[in-house]
Order: sequence, then C-alpha cells, then structure tokens
Amino acid sequence: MTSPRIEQALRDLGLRYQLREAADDPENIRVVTGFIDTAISFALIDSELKAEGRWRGEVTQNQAARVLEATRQLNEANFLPVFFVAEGSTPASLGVRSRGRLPISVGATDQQLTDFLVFFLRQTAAAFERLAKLFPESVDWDDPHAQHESQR
Amino acid sequence: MPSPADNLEKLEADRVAQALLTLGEPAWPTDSEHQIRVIKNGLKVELVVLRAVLIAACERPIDELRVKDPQTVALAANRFISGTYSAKAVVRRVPPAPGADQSSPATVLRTESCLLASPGVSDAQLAAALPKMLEETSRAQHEVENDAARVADLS
Repeated sequence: MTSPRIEQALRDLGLRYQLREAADDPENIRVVTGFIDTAISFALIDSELKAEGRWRGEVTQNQAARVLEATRQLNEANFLPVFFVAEGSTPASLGVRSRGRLPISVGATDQQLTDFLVFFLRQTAAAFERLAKLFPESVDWDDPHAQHESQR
Repeated sequence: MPSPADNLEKLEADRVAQALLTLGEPAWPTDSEHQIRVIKNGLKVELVVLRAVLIAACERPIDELRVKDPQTVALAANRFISGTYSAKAVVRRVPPAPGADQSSPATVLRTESCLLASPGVSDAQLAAALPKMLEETSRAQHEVENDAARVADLS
C-alpha cells in the first residue's frame, strides 16, 4: 500500500485531494480530501491505513453532554467509523471527529481499498449531516445539498 | 508474485473459527450461526459475521464495573477512543428482552473492533487481523474501566 494508490482510488471516486506533510515527520504524507462540512485525511502508519474525519461545526462547552450523547448514539448505530468528541479550535469549543482504519500488513486489493474509502466517507458524511441537524447553530456554511433539499 | 490479499473469499463464521483454531485460540459456537465466542484476557469476546464485516465485541454490564455511573464510563469511553485507532468503546443501552422488566434496560460497556471484509478477505489477512482484534477488544474493556475509576476517584 502506498499513498499513490490512495490518490488513485480517490481520483477514481471523482474526489479532489491534496498531499500534506506531517509537521513533525516530513516522511509521513497525508492525503487530504473532504466536503463542505468535513475535512478528511488518510495516512499510512504502522501497517494500517488510518482515516480521520473532522466536522467543520463546533459546539460550546455547555453543550458537552448533548454532543457526547450524539456521538454515543452514532457509535451505537455504526460499527465504522468511530465518532468522538475532541477539543475544538478554541478552549471554549468542542469538535467531533471520526476515525477508521484498514489493516494492510499483508496487503490489500484495489477493491478492498475502494470499499473502505467509500464506506468511511459515506458513513462520516451521513453522521456529520445528522450533527448539523442536531446543532444547527453550529452550521456557519451554506450546504448546496441542504438548499436543494429545502427547495423540493 | 501475487499478493497474499489477492485470493479473497467471502467471510463466514466457520471460516473465522477455523482461522482461530490455527492461531491456537479455540472458539465456541453460539445460538447464532453467524457468531462464535472466544475467551480473551478473562473476558468473553463474541465474533460476529455480518455480511462483509467481522466484528469482535465484548460487553459487560455497567453494574459489574468498578464505576457504575454510565456518564462517567461514557466519558472514559470517549477519552479512550480519542486516543487510539484500535477498538471502539461505547456505553450501550440494551433494550429489555420481551417479557422482561420494561423499566430497567441493561446498560453495558461495549468494546469492539471490526474488519471490513469487502469484497472478501484472504486467509493471510484474517490470520493477521484476528489476534489484534481479540486483544484490542478485551484490553479496551480494562482500559476504559481503569480510566473511569481514575475519573471517579478525582471527583
């Protein structure tokens, strides 16, 4: 498994991406993609393809119990990815992230790689869409899909 | 040379049981043909095959943990999963069985590790993944419980 294979799989899915070096380890290249409400990175670390999604919205500290319950419910309903509450961009805010991994110690086929990427992206997008509905005050972006839905 | 991952097969519980035997981890059948059971680190771990996903899961009632407050355990579960890519930990409310006392659903700490076996999985991949999944799933139970106990001691 190599980063170019991840890049090719994302291209085949019609997704744009960028390559970024980890600040503390230039050898560690992350493939970064996303949607209007989600930043997603893929990295090959310790014989695993590790995926992490970051929701663009953030909630205030006084909503900690609600957002923790929301991620608990997501984890109850999904086996992959895993969702958790993390520190936000300010000390007063909290964010939500998703994580998943694909073991690659004995290799993975192109189809296995694609199936993992599609599953991770689809489940993360659906979960973050749900968060946007639960915490509408956290949404500071215009979602073209949401506008389309509301015009129906 | 073909990659070990090239020879993919659909996953079934019997195949997982055979792989575990080869690895020296005997598995027991359960009531479900899609599920087998292994004892790991003193805990029961269920291996469930759901279409193209293999899930290793361990559940313990919150009442059996050192900390019996679900919110404290849920916080510890969140802390655990935020620091790892290994197992998932979640406090789960199990609906009461039909005929059981409807007022008191059981609350459990569930830890699980999953393998996406789509479009199939090779024997080599299964052999590499299974020991890690069992170890992570059982170890996560102890780590979350220990962290919840630390949080409870501080408060």
